[in-house]
Amino acid sequence: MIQGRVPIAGARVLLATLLTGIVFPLGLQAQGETHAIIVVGLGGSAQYRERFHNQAAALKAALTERHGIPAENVIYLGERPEDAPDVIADKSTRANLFRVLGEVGARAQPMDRLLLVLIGHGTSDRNEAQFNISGPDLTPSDLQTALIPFPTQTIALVHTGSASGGFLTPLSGPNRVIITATRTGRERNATEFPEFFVEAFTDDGADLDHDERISLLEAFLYARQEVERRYQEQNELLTEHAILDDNGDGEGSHDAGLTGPDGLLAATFQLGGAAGTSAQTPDDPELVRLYEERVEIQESISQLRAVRDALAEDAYLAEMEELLVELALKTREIRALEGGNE
Amino acid sequence: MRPVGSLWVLLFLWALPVDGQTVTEADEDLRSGNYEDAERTFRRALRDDPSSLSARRGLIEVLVTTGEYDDARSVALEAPEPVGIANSLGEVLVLSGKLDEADAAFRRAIDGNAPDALTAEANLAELLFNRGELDEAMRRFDRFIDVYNAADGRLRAAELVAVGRAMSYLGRTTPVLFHDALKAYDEASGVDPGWAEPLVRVGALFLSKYDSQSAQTEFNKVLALNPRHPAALLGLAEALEFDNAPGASNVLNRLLEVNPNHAEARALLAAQHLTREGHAEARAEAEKALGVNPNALVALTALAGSHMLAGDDADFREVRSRALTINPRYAALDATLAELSVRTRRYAQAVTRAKAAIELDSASWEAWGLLGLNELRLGNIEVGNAHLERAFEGDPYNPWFKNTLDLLDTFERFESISTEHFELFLHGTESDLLATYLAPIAEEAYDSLSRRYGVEPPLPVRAELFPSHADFSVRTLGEPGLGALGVSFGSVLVMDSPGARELGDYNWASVFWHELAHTFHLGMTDHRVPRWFSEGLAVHEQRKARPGWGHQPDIPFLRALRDGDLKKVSDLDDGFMRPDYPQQVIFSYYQASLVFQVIEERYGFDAIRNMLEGYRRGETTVDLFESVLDKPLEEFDDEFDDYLKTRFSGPLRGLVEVGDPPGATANTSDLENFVLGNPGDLVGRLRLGAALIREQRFDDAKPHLDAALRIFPEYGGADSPYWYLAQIHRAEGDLERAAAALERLTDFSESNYAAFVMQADLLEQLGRPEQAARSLDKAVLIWPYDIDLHLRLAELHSQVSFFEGAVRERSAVVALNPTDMAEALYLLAVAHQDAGDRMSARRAILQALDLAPNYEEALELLLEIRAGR
Repeated sequence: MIQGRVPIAGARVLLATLLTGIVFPLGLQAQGETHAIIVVGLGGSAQYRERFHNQAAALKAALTERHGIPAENVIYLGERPEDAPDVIADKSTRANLFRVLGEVGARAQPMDRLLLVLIGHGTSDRNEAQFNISGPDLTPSDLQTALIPFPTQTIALVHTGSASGGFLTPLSGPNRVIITATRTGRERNATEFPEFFVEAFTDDGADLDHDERISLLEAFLYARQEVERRYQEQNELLTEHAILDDNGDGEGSHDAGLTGPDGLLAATFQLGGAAGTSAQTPDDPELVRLYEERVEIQESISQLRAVRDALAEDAYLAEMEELLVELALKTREIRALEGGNE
Repeated sequence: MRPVGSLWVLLFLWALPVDGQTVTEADEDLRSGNYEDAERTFRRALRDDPSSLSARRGLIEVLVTTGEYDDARSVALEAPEPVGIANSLGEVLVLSGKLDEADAAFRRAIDGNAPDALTAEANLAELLFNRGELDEAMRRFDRFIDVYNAADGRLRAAELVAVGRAMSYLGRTTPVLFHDALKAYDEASGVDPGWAEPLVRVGALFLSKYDSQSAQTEFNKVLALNPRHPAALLGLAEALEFDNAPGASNVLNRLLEVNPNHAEARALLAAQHLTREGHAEARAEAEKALGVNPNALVALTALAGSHMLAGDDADFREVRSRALTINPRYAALDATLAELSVRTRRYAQAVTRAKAAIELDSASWEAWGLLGLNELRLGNIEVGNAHLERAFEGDPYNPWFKNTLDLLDTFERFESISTEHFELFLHGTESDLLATYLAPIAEEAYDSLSRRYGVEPPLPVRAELFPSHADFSVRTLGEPGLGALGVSFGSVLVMDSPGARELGDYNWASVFWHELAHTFHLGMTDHRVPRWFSEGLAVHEQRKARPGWGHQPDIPFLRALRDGDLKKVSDLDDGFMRPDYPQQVIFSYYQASLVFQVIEERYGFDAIRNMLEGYRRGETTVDLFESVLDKPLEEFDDEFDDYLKTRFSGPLRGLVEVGDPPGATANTSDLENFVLGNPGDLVGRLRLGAALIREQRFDDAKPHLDAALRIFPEYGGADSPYWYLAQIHRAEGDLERAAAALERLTDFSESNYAAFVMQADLLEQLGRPEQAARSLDKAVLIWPYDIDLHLRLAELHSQVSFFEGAVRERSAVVALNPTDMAEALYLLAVAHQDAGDRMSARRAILQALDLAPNYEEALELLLEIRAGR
């Protein structure tokens, strides 16, 4: 049936649920680096070739310029490296991907994270799903092998193309976030998902909790919601249903969030701010103290949220307001000091 | 002597085979509808052999078919052997209303083991049922099950039909037996394929179970063999009425040509008259039927209906009492009158009649259903639901019951929002959004209409908006497929929410105003106002509410005016209820609205109010034109026709047919040549202007568009010259003229969303944010789901310091569930604070921070809000 023209039901609850979850402190713990590999497959036509390249290039730029990932940690493998040699590192073949993954795996630290984004067309037959690239197509079992060098790292695979759903179950596992643009391999139409997934990182709209960082969960929810809105506006049947799995059970959730079963790990996979890079501890001890105090307030907020259901709404809001005021004043102090230190 | 004896033997031998052939021929004539020949042949056969049962029965059947009931009775009474003809006699006596005698005749046939004793059993049981002895009747019907089972396939066709009839009656308490009825009729057809009776019975069964298409198929099979078959003609007419399809009257007239004494046909004609305010005509038809059969319950029902609708309470009660004397359990009268009440929009009356039917017969599932559906129309949802459940239990074949119950199951997803005069019943997914706009529009409309009419309807008015058009249709009719946008039942009005339609399909606020106007009209007239009057007046009210609202003149309307295809005012109800062609309904809306424009201009609004009060008193339209306007309706017909031709004289001149104009896809040069030869042709100018626009030849297009506007300045359709001129002026950088063209366009169009948005763009560029905001405010009344439009409107309102508007728009953004909800709530908090509402600002900012506690701008705003305490 054609979707009705009413606001998407449930997302308000989902977003509220997502964002009333864990509050993460800013940049004090030591966190690993993020390594990002963007793989663009065969476009099949000039239109798609250009579209995929633009999306990949935009994502690459955003990861480095907006989200603080060092340029050497973001690798773009594309269909035609000769078209943009300063952006595309090499041709997107299975061999090259294996090589790059091997190299990254060799230098990655145990707490580092890998973000692998596939942009292109996917197909699916009875045997296995495929991602269409030059030469032999990429399959889930290929990736399973290629990811062996990452035994301890958190891995996020985002397959933004058609028929991508078949990649989820085979690659699901502990410490892995798998996002696919389609629920199954039977959703074969070209997808709108990559446009909005990339937009989550290039624009400001996906920072749903306004903490100046984008998590994979936020990017997923943003992209999923915008895809649905696009189909509604164009009065078309929704032919793609993005899903996310991060609890290793091999089943993706369309409505991922912090209440589970999927979404918790993706919420912690954040880019931007200090979390996207190696830990940044300020030099100023006063700032350090203020940061610590802010973390304490944030933790108090998390604890209050955890017992929300046990409180009357007015009581909850009253307590929350007091904590928020504290947080606001503390943030003011921090900004004032940061401004003075620049 | 031997030769004489031999002669007699020869004569005897000669006579015997002739008699058999003659009756066979007569039977064939009877079956093919050649009743005159059949009668002659049967009479001759009977003269030759008065003891011939088949000839006598055949003759009786012909006479009954053609309505010669007295003659048929005489023929029956002349039978030398009464038992063999007793059943036939009984059937004739029933038709003449001699029920005691009929009872005796049927029993004689049964007790005497007549060849048609089983048919007599069915007839007797039916007679007992129709005289209110339901238990005895059902016991007799029940025996047919054993008869069928014991017969083991050896029943004759007539006996199988009797079984089928019995199963049909038993089905009222055991619905599965309707299938057995169908089976018995099919078997009867198999035994005697040329006999129409089983087919007619099957048709009637299908119709009773709401499958009018299958019913018509069966009736048409019979009519293909015998186009003069009264029962098939009646069934076909009933099926056409059921579908509200044209042609039922013609079929009934054909039937009455065959049998002018057919009571059911007269009763159906009477019912048709009743839906058109033809009370006198209805009574005349009913009395004709009663003249033949004074105990014809269907005729008494129609007669009671005429008194009921005319408000003649004493006469109504008297006629009803007559019917109940014949059958003290005759629920069908009140159930039929409940249905009639619905057709004339008197829902409270429908509830009263349905309750009365149930009191007489608690197994009247039709009555339970009518009760339930009409309680729903009055806003009594729980009670209505319960009654419908009961109805559906008894009649699980009824699709209206099922559809409505399924719909009611979804009501838990709706929310009720109360305002001063309304209960707004909105789907949970869009209640916050719609209530923001609907509540003020509703109260404005209420205030305006209550001041204008000087009355208040029963409160609260319940307004239900459905985001699914199929659900709206089921709520209204019990089935999908309704073409309307909204319906008023009085204090309950039901309509599509904007989400049920495509963008630009309609202006939901305008439709709401229209439906609320109906609420006032129905209330003021105790639901007696005719359809045309209320529809026309409601459109007139729309136009009074806002420029551009309500139906507007268009080219198809003008063509209909030119060609004489509009109804006269005196027949305008038919324009809605029995249109000559589908589009006539839409034309009738606009035409009727002009009637009220004329009346208000020439006689004042008080005249309209007085007419509404007159309807309440039971007066007719003819009466009221005379008494209030001091003008016979026929005279007003002529005056109004003159008014239309004068008012639209310009565009009518532009629509004079001048041969074959180029079609819509003609090339530009053909169009140019045509216009050169016919410069006053409206359509030619419009098409040429549009073609030149497509070719970007703006300077060439302008004169043609201007010419079209000179011919038809009120044209606001999708291809209006105002629209094209706006685009030309904009492309030329003349924003003022572009905006002015759009202003004119929207004076004649309530649902041109793109025009309002473009107008806002232009006004903003011209540095008029307040006016730009007003344009977007109007766009929201067409399509409220565009987040970007609300964001823009919020900015504009803030810009001109209309903070209440900014709050409304920011609230709408939140209600539309934006991706960044925290930001939307933050901006809402800002709007509240700008409006001086610190409490609401605090609430909104806390909601934002609850979602995003590290949102720095929001944290700052919280401190500001608190500091402002």
